[in-house]
Amino acid sequence: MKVQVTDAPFDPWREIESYRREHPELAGKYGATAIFVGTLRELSHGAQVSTMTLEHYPGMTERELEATCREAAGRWDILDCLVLHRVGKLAPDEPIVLVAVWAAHRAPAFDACRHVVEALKSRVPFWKRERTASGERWVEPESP
Amino acid sequence: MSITVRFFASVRERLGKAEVVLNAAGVRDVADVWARATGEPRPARLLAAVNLEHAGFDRPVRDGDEVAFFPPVTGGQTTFTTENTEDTEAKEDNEKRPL
Repeated sequence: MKVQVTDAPFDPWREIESYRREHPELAGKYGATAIFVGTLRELSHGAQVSTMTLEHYPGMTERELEATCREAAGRWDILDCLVLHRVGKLAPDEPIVLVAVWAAHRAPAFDACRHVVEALKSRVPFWKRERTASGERWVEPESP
Repeated sequence: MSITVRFFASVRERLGKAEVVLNAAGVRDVADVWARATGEPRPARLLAAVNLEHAGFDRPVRDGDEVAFFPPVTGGQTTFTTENTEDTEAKEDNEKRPL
């Protein structure tokens, strides 16, 4: 399992490949790899986004991400989990997050991947600030 | 005898400070920490953490704890709305389009 928060742009496909190579013990064991890549769109709430800045709570972020992966591993039969999340200033089309889950079978791979992605929205301390033509704004969720 | 208090994102901006150190004497819980550190009423939907874990406002705090306050989190991809904007994105997201 690996979770990492980075302020540098990353290539999710290369990261998956190098993680797989660094973990030869997975070879032959997994039959399914579920991958989610979240990417910054240029359109948000009808406004053109020029950049987005992601703030986080160092320490708590990693802790929550690890807890989420452990939870997924406890709930579904998975072999490994990789999470990379970008922070700092991003431009449209840059990847924000990568979640990759390896499992023997597709159902637990999909379910665990989805679980980790949804947790990002509800409990991991990231906050988005968008810059558009009309200025900067914090992105805040609607009332539940 | 101190408690480190940290503020993030829009909460930090509104208060104009990222961190304060409080004297821990007489501080009982997270709600106390907010009141003493800011002197302001609690904003709606404020979240808190104690020692890097989500916590309620009635969570007791002790000398040496780190208490953080922040708005609801917005990781992953955006499907939210905010003030001064129209809620167009939720509709866009659910609309099926040809590939």
